[in-house]
Amino acid sequence: MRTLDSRVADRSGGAAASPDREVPPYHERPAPLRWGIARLLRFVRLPRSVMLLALILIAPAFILRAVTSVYPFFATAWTSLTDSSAYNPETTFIGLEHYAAILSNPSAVSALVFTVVFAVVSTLLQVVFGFMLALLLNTKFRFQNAVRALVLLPWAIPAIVTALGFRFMFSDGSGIIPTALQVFGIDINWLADPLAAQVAVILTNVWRNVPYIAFVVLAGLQGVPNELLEAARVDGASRLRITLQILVPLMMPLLITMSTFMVIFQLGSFDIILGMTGGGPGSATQVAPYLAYQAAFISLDYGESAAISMLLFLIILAVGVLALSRFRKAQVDY
Amino acid sequence: MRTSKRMVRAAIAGVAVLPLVALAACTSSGDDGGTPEEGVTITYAVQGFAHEAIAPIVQEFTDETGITVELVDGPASGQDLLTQLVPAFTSGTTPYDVIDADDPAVAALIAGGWLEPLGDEVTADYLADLSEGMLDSHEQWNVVDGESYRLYHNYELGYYWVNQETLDAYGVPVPTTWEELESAGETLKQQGVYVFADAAAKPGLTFVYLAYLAAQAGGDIYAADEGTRTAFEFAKSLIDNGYFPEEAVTWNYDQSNAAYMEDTVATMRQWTFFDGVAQANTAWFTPEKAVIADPPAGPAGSKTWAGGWGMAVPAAGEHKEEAKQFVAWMNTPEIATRLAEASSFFITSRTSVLDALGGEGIVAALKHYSDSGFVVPRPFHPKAAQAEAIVDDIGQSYLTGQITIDEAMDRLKTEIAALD
Repeated sequence: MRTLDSRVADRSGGAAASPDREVPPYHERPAPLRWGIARLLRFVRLPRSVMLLALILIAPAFILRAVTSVYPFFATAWTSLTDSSAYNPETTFIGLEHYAAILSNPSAVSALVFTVVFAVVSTLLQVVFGFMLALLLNTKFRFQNAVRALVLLPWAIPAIVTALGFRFMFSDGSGIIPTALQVFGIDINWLADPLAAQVAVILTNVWRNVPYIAFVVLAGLQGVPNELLEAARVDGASRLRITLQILVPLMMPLLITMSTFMVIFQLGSFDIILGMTGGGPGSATQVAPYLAYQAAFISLDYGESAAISMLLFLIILAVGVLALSRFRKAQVDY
Repeated sequence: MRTSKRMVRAAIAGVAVLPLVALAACTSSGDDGGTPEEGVTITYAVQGFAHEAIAPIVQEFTDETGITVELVDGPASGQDLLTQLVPAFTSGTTPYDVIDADDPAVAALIAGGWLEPLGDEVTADYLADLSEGMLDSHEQWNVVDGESYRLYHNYELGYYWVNQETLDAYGVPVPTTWEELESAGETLKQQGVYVFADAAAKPGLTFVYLAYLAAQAGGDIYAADEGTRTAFEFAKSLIDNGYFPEEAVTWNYDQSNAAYMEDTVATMRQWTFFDGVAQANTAWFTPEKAVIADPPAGPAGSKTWAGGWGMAVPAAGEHKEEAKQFVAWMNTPEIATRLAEASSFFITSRTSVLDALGGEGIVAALKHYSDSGFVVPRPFHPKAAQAEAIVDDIGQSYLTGQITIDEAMDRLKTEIAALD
């Protein structure tokens, strides 16, 4: 059998690149990562022209990525170590002073903590309610398509419009939510009470993003083989058991992936909070991205803004690593 | 092998051409340099609601000088202004030739070196026409090292609006002091009416409200002095006693106006624009429902602070001389008076405006407040935008019971000092 290396050797004028090896069938070949490592360690050789072609073809994507992601990241990291601001014509290196100032400021620490709480709690509720909604939408019923379209509406509305709408709905005295709750004897000043304001922004955020999670999970549910579910039903499993012991484990990688994306996305967003509370009352609903925005555009202190952004990056990195480790453990083969 | 080399050459050519195509597409179509136009066109960014009223007057400038002025929608707040313009200014460009800036924004723009000094030719007539209080404000906010960078075309006072009908209905006299305000509050509370309200949401409005009370208490809000402490404690006591709605810390101006016009609030602090809002609500309005009274006197007397918007010329502009000519023209006494007649956004306490219009309406109130010595300048800080945000945070935290008065004063002192 002609081997890969012998074909390569022919094209390069007969010089054998490495000892002949069997070329396994496609489905038995090593995973791309292992192949890549082998390539790096030079266990596999390619002709120079092929290498050059490959480099040229990936160069535009690499350059674009470097310019739009890598350079801004390092520029931000450097700026966070300087006293760069609109008031300073010349910037000087100040080391970790910004970080020390932020971490010793109770308001800023509170904002960092609430940023994580906001993102994590919102995501948990979104995933739970999104999964439940997906299960409902996965059943057959009349006007299914119309209902699905209506369910998607909250996610289609711009976030700032949602925020302003809920601001008025939560408004004490005239808002529909406190008015309705007062019928049951529940009197909460939603936006003026610190804890209630935190709950209000989280609930608004959950309302807005549940449809998105639901539709992604719905797509996953529709990929579950019917035979599995039929077999379970034949064996006498109840719906709850099927959901908890078949659907949830099968959906777990998708749920973890979506949760990770949602946490990361929500760690960096502040549109709901800007529109509903402006970070108030006081700094009860203040979040790190809004702090960074205020530092850059109100205080014109670019160094402080960059430092807040870097702290946020570290939080997001930790979330990403944790999620990746959970993802691998959650993979299910069937 | 030949095929591979051909592919390599093709790939190199393709990769080399793509950036060139992209650059060509990004290149601007160029300025008017290639197309000769009669005169110069400058852009003036001012809030949209004023355009219709001032457009005919601006056209006269064009007819006189040949300089075309394009009115564009400007940001409605100083924060929006900074957000929109600072990135352009730091890169040495500007989307507008003349901008409208409020006090905290102009402080940041001057500190950043992004505004052009206007020069004596522009400011001479204007300065001679200012009333005393307005001159103080101008020198505090618009002048650095003897150079003027902005001219006020809008000079707003926080008026004390009184619903006389509501007060008469419950037999309550118009409060003239803090003590009378509290006494009236106790009476009105029994009827389900708040005696006083003000919008105090973030960003910015908490500062406006607390600075109003600090002026009446004789305090310097950025110094966190005794007057400031008194003002904070008074604001908290109004909420705790049920005289001031607790939810007002989340209100914007629309919400406070709505509460006032729903007769759930008997008096409020509000800017000039409420005059138009109230009269536009024809189903509700009567003159007795929107009366401007003297501000309630605190320990330092009846006070209110004034701030405003003004015209400035970005240093990065391409047509600075034309822009300055426009600013000078718009601020001559004759034109300033006509602008004030056309739009309340152009009302100031300039002598020419007060003499011409001070006999009635909102300008009469402005004249009365100015002549009575009620008006003090807006609290000044070189980093005003940041300082006001600090007052917002700490003020709201205190008013909502998250921190004590001692913590509030300590934090205010520390955080303001850290700005220097």
